[in-house]
Amino acid sequence: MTNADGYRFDPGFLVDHLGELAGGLVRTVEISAIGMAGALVVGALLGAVSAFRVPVARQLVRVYVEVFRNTPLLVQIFFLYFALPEVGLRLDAFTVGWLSLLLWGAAYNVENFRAGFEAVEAGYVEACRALGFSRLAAFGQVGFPLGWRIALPSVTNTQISVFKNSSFMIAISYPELTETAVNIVAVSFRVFEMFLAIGVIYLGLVWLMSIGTRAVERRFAIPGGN
Amino acid sequence: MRSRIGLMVLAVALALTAGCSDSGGDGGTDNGPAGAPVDVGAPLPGNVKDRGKLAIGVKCDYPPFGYIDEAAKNAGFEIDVARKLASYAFGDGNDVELTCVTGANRVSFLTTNRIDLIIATMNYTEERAKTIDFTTPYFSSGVKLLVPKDSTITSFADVAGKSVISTNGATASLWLTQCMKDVKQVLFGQTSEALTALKQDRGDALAQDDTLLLDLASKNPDLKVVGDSKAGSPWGMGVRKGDTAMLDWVNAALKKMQAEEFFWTEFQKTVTDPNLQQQFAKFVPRPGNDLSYPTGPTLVC
Repeated sequence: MTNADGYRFDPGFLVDHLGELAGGLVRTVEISAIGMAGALVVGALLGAVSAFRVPVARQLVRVYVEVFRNTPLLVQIFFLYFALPEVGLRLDAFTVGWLSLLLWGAAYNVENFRAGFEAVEAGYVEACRALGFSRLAAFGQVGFPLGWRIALPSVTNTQISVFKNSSFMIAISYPELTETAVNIVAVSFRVFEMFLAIGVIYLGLVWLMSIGTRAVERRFAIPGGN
Repeated sequence: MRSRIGLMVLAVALALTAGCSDSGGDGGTDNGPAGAPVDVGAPLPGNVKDRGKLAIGVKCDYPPFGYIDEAAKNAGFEIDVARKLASYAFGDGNDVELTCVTGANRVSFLTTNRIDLIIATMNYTEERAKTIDFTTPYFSSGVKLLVPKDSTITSFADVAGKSVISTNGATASLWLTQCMKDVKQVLFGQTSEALTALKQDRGDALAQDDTLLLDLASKNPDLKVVGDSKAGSPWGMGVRKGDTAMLDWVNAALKKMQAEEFFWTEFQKTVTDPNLQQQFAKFVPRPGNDLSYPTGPTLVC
């Protein structure tokens, strides 16, 4: 296939670079998995702190959320990688990779979980309290099990963004999938094939993730709705 | 109140546009006032003529060849050459549309028709010549290493098995990929990021064209340039494969610049350090000093 400008579509060249792309994919999955797991745990924990209006801690969580939601992820990555060493903290690209994804994702998940926890009908929690449950027990037995189910769709959105944002690590030379592809393009100039290929890879993985969370949503659907 | 704010905005906007047209000029080069187009001996390609501007991809992070100066304007040796081409084409050095490109994306900018010409510190390599056409060379350089003053690294052999910083798509990176496979490459998009990374000890050395490294070393006294020149090869401008009209016109224009001693004159203005000038005197096309591309591979180990 040749177009007017002489660009010849040549998917065969991808075969020569499969090993490199696989290595890039593994590193993408590595930092994404840590970042997503951390974003989930930290988000749920701090989301609970927010929903429960824990004094002081709640204000600190607020500051954290505002800082990370109101600055671009790329700026955060540059800050962690290039600016922190100026004050004596030098993190390697891998650490900055998962840490920046974790911090960014957790900030959004705090809000997702807080909304979920607050959406649990007050009557349920009041009923628990009336039966003699402590506030913590009422959260553990009712508030959390219902709240995370309500939060799941928006948490899924954030988790998918965390995964896709791993491609930002190109800025700090972490050889994940996009950085690997750009470096292959720099040698081979096969722009179309390479970006099509990694586009398909990202699409496939995110699609699998969506299927997985939809299965979780069905499995843990609140009986009789909320 | 509102109308006063409106007037102020208007005044500022006018001042800004005036500033642009003022300093959008040739930045101190001797392109001269707007005049008539210059016949270089080959016709200007029709599509360029119709547009009234040359669309050129240049470096914006690569002093002293193509960079953004303190006034936030494109400046450098290659920018002067780009403006000279525009003055040949249209009689005015400002009839040029400069786009910042990097080592990793410059060829894509050209092949996707976003620019007509690459003037972006691009060494000739056989691989690149398969995708684009090179004009006659206008400069030449080789790859060396930039290391901290107290580093024990004195040659390429010393970085075997170590981490070396460079930029995506740079000749230095291509050469390391081919010739020193045990080197761990740490690649960035911009020179500034690569330099910061070196200063933060994120690699043992920074591999790049000697010209850039000498400039960086002269501005950073805690760094020094070491190593014998690798992957030495002339720099060419890039035009789309098969775009013979553009290739012929640019080659004719370059020939005229060489005959007029434009390259050497401009180079001396850009690189003012007499020591550096001396080192590069034979890497600039001058009357009686033609540069030519090597036959065969340039990325020899």
